[in-house]
Amino acid sequence: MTASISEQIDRIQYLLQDRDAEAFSRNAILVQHQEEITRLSRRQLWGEILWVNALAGTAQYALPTSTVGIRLVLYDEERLDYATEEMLDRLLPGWEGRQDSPRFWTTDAQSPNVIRLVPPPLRDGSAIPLFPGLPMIQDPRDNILIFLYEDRSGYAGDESDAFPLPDIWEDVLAFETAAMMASKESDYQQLPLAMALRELAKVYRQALGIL
Amino acid sequence: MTGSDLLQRIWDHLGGNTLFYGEEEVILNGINPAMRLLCLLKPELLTQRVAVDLLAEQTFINIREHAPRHWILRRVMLGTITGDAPTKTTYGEFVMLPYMSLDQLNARGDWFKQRGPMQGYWRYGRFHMGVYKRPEADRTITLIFRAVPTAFSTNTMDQSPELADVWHPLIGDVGAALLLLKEGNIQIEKARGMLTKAFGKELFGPIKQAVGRQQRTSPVHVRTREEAEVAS
Repeated sequence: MTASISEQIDRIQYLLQDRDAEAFSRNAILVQHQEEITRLSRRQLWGEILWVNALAGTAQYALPTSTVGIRLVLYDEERLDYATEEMLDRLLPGWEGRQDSPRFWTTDAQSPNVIRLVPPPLRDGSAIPLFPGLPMIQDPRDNILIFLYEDRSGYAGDESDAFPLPDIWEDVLAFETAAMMASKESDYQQLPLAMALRELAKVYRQALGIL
Repeated sequence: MTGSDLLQRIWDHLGGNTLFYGEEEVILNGINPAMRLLCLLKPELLTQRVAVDLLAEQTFINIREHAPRHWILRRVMLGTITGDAPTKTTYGEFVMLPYMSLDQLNARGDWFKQRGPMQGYWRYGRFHMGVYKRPEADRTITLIFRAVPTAFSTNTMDQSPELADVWHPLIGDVGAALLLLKEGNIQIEKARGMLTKAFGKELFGPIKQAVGRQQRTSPVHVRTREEAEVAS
């Protein structure tokens, strides 16, 4: 049974001995819990595979704002290589004006969370679902598949949300959130508790291979 | 032991203090994290299997959908081995699929295009995996993984933990230590000692000494300290 965010906040309130939310509001704990998920997410732990509809002549594609990093890009079921602008200048002179099937992808000199395919696709990919019921239901042919890492905190923005990570991560996040709350510069500061919880979270993280 | 027995054991450790340690708190911050900590430090305590049906062309598997409590994927078998006897796929296959890294696969530019007999599996992030090559027809694979036990809730306290009976008392001991941690310096040291005894090794160093060198830094504490210094 996966816990809800509400249960996580209950746990944290118990750890802080603050069930009546006198020291910290539930919303403050919720926000801190999200920040702790983001902190873990920046370690590129949560992979996601994103299907993007390729359009003829369109080079730039926006990714979700939760994107932390990009691992692989496939176009038409084949690998695209990463290249910086300097590499493209060397490998494909005049690359911005070329018309051919995509061979490279870059995030160099692009807005945040935008990737550019070089050269841009020559054909529109089909957006019609191909495989009903599969995790990825769209046609990868003539389209883009992006293996990215995402920040999962957006899935934990409301108390009614389910915990958005595998169950094993509940404890690390509860301990680290409570530690952050307990070490804040407030009248309710509890440094010994904060340090003990951080040590405990470290034991869990060590076992999970994340330090 | 049932969940209720564990609850009672923890209450006994805590001096029968059911007022300050209510049932919900003992479950959320004692029993459940204790079970998970035991499994993290001794992964072989709980291994599970789940069969996953793949449709033709399907290559991606979200492990979290099929095994939300998994944390280490140990083996992947083509075929079904959830019961005593292995069941071959419709095409007579029953083989272990070796792990292949994404980098290794991606070295071949058209790896995703490959369709045919499965040769291995790959992982991506903490809960995605896929098979290589993409199956041309429906197949069943079995995932064998280390898991954490089903968490207790107030409605399921009549059930037993999924771990072997011999570990049940330890869940209570570790759970009591985790609950004591929030109580401050002396109890933190006591909890640390209980965890060391339970696991037979020190999980983390003394907190009390480190804390002793640190003063509270919140404005109210600084003001109180300075006022005391002036008064003296």
